[in-house]
Amino acid sequence: MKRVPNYPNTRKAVSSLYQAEDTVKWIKKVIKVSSINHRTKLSKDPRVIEVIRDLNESVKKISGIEGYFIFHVTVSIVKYLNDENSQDLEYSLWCNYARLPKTASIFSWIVLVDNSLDNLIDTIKNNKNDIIRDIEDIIRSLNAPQKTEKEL
Amino acid sequence: MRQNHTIRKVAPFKDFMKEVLRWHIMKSEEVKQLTRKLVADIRANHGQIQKDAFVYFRFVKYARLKEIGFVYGLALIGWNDVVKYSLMPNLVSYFEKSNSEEVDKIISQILADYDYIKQLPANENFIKNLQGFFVIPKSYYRKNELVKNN
Repeated sequence: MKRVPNYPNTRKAVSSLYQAEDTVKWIKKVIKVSSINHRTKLSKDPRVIEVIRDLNESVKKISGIEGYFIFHVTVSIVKYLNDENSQDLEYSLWCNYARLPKTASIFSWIVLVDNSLDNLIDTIKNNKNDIIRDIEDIIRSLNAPQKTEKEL
Repeated sequence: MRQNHTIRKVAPFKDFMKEVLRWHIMKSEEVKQLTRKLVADIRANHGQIQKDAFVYFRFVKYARLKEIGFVYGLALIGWNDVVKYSLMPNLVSYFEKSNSEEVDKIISQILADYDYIKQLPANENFIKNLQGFFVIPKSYYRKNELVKNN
């Protein structure tokens, strides 16, 4: 008889996303699940919260936006292969996309990485337009015509 | 004989979809071709990925039971080189239709226009930098809505 794998943690994560009471709580769960999923810890530094809020406000202003682009910053420990005793912290800006709310269909990617939180925050502030432009590209591509329509 | 590390490299997306999401994967040769094209493009364009690094993306045609009966859809499921084996995969479901044949027709059109779709700005960024996700324009699967909006 084939053994059916049991994924208790995965099931718990998926069910928490599906059962979120409202969209705001679902967004909080998306951030939590994404950070657990990638074995990182969520950064709750006030400066991080400020830049994330700023990014979210800018994303909301994009016209024709569909779905949810959810940013968060995580911290993780990096160990070096050539020296087992040395380790470093790595800070990452993540973006998660979901087409609909209260779903487990989430696509996450790293936008920026740095070994210093200060540098990461500065880079986010200095490159805000580029970060938003990438989101605009996604929206523009989602709204692109079919090839045949374009040729006509 | 297959070695354990080889098996671990292919994360159990089938079990995740079936056991956790209760989505049933449907066989489709055109979906397989779409996957082959995307993975080949990622591998060709992403210079930093080493030979044995983990980049796993796969399009899937699926069926799932809703209140109205079965719906059929197309999704991209994947793990990139960030985490080899994690809690749940990246997943984006593009569309769902109540008619399986309609989904097949849309997939055929997407496959026929793959070279055009991959050149969209968001997809060029995704293929080169693994940032964002592979976008399929809404015009391929929401024709009626677009006509109404126009």
